[in-house]
Amino acid sequence: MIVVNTDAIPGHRIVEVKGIVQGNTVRAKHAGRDIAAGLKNLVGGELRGYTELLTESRQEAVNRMLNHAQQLGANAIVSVRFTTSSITSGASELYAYGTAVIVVPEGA
Amino acid sequence: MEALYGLAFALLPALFLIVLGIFVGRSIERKHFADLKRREVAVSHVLATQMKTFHQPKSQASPPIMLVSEVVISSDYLKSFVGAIQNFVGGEIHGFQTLLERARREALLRMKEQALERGYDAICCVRLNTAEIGGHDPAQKRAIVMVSLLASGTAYRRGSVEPMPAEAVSESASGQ
Repeated sequence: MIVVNTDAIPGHRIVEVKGIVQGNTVRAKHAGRDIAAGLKNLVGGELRGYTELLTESRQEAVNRMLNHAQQLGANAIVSVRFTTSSITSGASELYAYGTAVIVVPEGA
Repeated sequence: MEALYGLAFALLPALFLIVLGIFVGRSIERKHFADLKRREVAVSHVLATQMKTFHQPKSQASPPIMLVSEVVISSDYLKSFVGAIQNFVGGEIHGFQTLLERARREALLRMKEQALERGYDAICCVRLNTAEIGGHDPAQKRAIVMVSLLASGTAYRRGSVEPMPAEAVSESASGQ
């Protein structure tokens, strides 16, 4: 499955548009991570626990979006976008959405 | 006099944290900037654009892939303290600006490094979004001052720039 956040894929032609596909996840870190982040907040620097949280959420959301696209019988997703929203302190939602399409290699 | 001692004693933890911010916080920021500078040189040939179109794509290459990078950078106690005061009187908060700059540069850099790892040499449609994750410090029962960024882009291979025909080169040279 080709996944891009542009409108087109070079070397490929879009032959069918299947519509919007999406995936979301709400995740939280355990309190230990929050305490570690609180301590790190005194001296500054990267909060690896929260970076990991974002990475995991993103992978999960993208996987769900891919499943959705597969169900529709698409072989590519274009114009993928991400948005996040904070539900409560310590938890966040990550939402990935794009347009599922069927592409064929140029000249085929 | 007793009251003064009492006041000093009450302020001691905050003072200690401010001094910690001055020394440790600043040194962490300086190190991060030095690290960014060094790593940016290594990936300087990766072209990053925020256009939706592919600039000079190689015609016969593997399909492009989407890259995503995340980074969460924390403020330090001094920055938060000065920020809170600035917030009261108004004006530019320089400490938080450098925080955002570090996060943006780091996110873009990570994306470029990912692109190189996978054998791509250009990224288009770069989007930098601030991510909302509710940071929470359970010990002090307050929100954590931090910047979280989610960057996305599409990596592709760039074709070598085709050499201009000889007459076109001489024309453009004489035209200047």
